[in-house]
Amino acid sequence: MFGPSGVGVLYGKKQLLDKLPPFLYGGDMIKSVKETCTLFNDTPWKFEAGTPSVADVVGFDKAMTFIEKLGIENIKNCEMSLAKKAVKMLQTHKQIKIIKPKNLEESGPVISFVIDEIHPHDIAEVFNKEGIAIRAGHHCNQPLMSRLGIPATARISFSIYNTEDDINRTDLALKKLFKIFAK
Amino acid sequence: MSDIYSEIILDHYKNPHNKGHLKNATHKAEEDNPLCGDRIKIYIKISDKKTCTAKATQIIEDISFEGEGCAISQAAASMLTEFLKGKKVAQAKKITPEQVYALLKIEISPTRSKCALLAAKTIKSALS
Repeated sequence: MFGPSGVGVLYGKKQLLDKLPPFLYGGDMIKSVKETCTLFNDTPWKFEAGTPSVADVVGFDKAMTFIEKLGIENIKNCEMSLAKKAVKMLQTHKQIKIIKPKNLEESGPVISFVIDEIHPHDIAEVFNKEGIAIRAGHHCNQPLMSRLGIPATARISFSIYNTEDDINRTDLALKKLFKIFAK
Repeated sequence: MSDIYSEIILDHYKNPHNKGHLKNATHKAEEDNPLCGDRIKIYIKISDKKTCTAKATQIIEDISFEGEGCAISQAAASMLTEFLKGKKVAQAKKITPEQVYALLKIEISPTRSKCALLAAKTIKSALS
């Protein structure tokens, strides 16, 4: 979400949260403490023990304002249009096998692919040298990898800061990759 | 920084030395990097080299590997088996990451060190 790490939102039904005990003890999460009994604070303060991560929370607020200002639909349209162009570019290389649902909208602006005889880590390494950061690995889904009979995939994901030029540069990086690994 | 896909690395990857099953192997082991899917199987044939001096020395008479994975893991297996053929078993048991890196002649980033060292790890477990 373009915000600081280490901060997030817990979303839950109030009557259920009210039933939960505090998971952390400290300032702000008590109403009163007596020798015989303790009364915890109301939700959400019950879960906000100690000094809050103030800077991160302020940053998180700014990040959400930034996203709202751009508009979720606008972000989606921008990213999906890049993803569709990237799929077209990848399809011009016959060595590339794209792994995605039939309808790209279902996977969002994220494109996994494999290349015969070139390990995804080698793809990522060559891309890295060309200034293109992608992810390579099993993407926390080893059962799917073994079902597909592949060790890993290379994965391109688009965000709002990407441009069509990035797709052209990826095309060049692929050409360089094929040159390096040519038999 | 030296290019990780140097000519020598790519040559060993595309045309690996000592690749295949070794008949009469006295020692073998298999290891993998589950995170990336690299897999190496090592076969070693150890023999006693008798010398005029009192004690016989164990040497690696032959060594081979089978496996799959990224260019770095496979090239390292090719280069390391080539290096250790005919060497003393004691020397193979003591091989260090620095020696492997020196052999590969490329700069290995922390994320690729597991790829580079998989063959060495497998050789050690075969000999242990």
